[in-house]
Amino acid sequence: MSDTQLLQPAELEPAVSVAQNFLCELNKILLGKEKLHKMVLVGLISKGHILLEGLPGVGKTALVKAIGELLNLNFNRVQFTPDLMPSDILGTNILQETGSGKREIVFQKGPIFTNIMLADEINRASPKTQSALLEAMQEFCVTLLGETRELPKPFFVLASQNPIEMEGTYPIPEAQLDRFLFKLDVTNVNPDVLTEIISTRRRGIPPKSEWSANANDIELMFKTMERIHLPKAVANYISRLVAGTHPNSGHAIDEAKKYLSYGASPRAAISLAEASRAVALISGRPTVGFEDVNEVVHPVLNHRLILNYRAKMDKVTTSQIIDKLLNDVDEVDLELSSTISVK
Amino acid sequence: MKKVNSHTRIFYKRLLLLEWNRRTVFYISIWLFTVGLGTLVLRMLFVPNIKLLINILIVGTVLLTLFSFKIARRSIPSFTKLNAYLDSYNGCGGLLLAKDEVRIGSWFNDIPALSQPELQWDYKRPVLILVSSVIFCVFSFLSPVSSLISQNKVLDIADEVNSLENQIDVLKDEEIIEEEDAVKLKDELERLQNSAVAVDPIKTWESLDNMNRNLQQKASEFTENSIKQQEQISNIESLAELLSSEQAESLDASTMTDAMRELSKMMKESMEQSRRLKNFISDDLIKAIKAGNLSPKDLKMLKQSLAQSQKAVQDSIMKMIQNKMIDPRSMKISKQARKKSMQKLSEYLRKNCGNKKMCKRLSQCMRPGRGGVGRGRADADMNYLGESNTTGAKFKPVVLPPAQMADLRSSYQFGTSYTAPNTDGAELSKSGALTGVKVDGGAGYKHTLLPKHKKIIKEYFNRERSNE
Repeated sequence: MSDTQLLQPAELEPAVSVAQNFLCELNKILLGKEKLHKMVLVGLISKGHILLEGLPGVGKTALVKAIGELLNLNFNRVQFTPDLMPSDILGTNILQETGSGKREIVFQKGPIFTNIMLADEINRASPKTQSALLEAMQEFCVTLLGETRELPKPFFVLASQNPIEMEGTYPIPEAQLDRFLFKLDVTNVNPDVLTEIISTRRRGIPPKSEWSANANDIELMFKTMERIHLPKAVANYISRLVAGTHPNSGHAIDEAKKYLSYGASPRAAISLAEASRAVALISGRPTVGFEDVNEVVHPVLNHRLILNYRAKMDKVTTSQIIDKLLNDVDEVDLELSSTISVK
Repeated sequence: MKKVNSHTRIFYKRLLLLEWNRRTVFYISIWLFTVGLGTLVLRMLFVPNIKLLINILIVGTVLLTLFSFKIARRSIPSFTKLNAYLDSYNGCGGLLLAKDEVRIGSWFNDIPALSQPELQWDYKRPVLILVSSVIFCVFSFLSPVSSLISQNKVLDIADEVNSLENQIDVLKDEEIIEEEDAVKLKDELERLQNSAVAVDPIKTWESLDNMNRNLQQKASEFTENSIKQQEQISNIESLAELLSSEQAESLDASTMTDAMRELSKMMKESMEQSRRLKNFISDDLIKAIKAGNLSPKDLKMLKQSLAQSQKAVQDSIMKMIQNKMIDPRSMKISKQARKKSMQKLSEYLRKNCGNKKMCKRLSQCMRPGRGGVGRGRADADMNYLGESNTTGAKFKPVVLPPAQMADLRSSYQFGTSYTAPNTDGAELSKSGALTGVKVDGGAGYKHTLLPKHKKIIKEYFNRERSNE
């Protein structure tokens, strides 16, 4: 046994309180999307980038705006279009006349230099522009003309894409997709919630939030996250889940062998672990349980599994494969005989 | 901590018990099938020791139960895994797992009350297989496999059948049984031989023994009858010999007539009792016997016929002995019976004959020991059913003193008694080679001679006088 002391309730409570307040306020601002909000918070606490996929008008931009307001973080929105250039995002050097009449090259920061960047309809930009985000998302810095500039902390990319109107779009490359911690489906709310929205939100304007976090709160959540304990058995479960998606692996489930070209990367395993920690924190626990992992498997893996042609023919979705994965991979591999079952 | 550990331990024990049961059922099923199969094979090949097989079965079962426990212990997941399962099952959120890795402090109290997961074993198929294996094993022990397999295995009784066939042939040849009966018996033998299977040898052997007993019974009945007839024939032969001898000339006519009548009567009775006897007696002789008027020539022919008849009977008995149908000792009985019959004849003659002197002489004639060195008549062969072994038949050479040698040279044989010399009241010889022997006036001496002495005694009596 390690000498490490588990995060005690008193230490955990402030961070949990911030998270709960955030969720509570977010749920007030945007109605009927509690689960989505929780996952967004999990993504933010995990310092991950989130790809939001949904139809126009379901509240993607509103969500990102609300997050920025609640966390008191800078928020920039970039509408991705086919003619959008990397410099339009990253910034560019311009020749500028100073007060003394002297002219010099000055770096004009792009919209990426913010805490939260909403890359709206990211799949409409060309791959060249999409790839401009790669370094920023992974290294949290931007290199332009040989000069590297750090991005403000924290930095999140919340991208959105429209699943319809695929014409004139550029599907995000797998390498870039992998950099998103989550891919969350933003769906329409049910009629009851919709009724409430219509009744309470004139022109869709959300109510002002009564609570907002500050920089310390966010830092507290990040620091607390660092101390959430991931037991070995849970880590083993995560690794078996990821290994189960590798079609050429001996651990692969049958569906993975049949329908996947490529499985989840080690980055996916790390993402699962981090996201599980965040879920545990939000749940007010100092340790990650199996249920925490199960909660984030779908958003973490659904954009990382590359389906093969057969899957497309059979109309198999990644979500179905993940469901099968969760069903087939036991949380604890007891390696019992097939005739003995533990229920 | 104790609370948590005890739950894990209980879970471990429950799982171990279940796994032990599962493996025990599996291994014992295989074991029973193996033992059953082995038993069947062994029973096909030979008759195995069932007790030993049952012991092996029991010991193997016990060992496999222990072995399965050992294997079950190895195959049970580690405590860490079981702990992890309990954590997941009870929704502990990793706290139960963390307690083994880090110090969880006050979180220990937040661990919910642990409940044990339900363990299920899909036992229907294994138990069905176990029951099948038990049934198979029991079947292998109890089923009549050997009979199924060895049905075609013939029991070799050729030697016994040949022996019995020979016996039947002997009985048939000697007219002890009819030819039809012989054929029936042989058919029965053939049927037995064809139906003789290794599965039930006792039944066949019993049948053979039964037939053998029946044949021996017939043979011994024949032997007994033959012995009885032999007594009668011996009497007739003795009487015929007497009547044809020189001594008969001294008999008066009435005695002779009585003797002839008696001889005729005895012959008639014998011929009525024995059909075989008729085969050896000519028709003319039969007429003479019936008439009671036998000439010396007839008497001689009668003696020869009777001798042939007796020889035929003896040959028959010899055949039976050779075929192991009767005990050779029955021959001795025959001889003893013959001796007895001679004594009875003597008594008969003494009682019924008017001429006392003649009767006495006749009775003396009938006594054994006449003229021979051991037994029988003087002209009887000196054998007891074959050549005697002369090995070790040497007399111990004794160097006699000159005086005794002179006495011995002066001694001579003046006759051979027909009966054993009477030595009652005799004195011991005090000189010569017969020193210490009871002698009656020097008439002879009595000494027990064995067949092995035959050759040397023959040499003594056949010695040339000139050599002495």
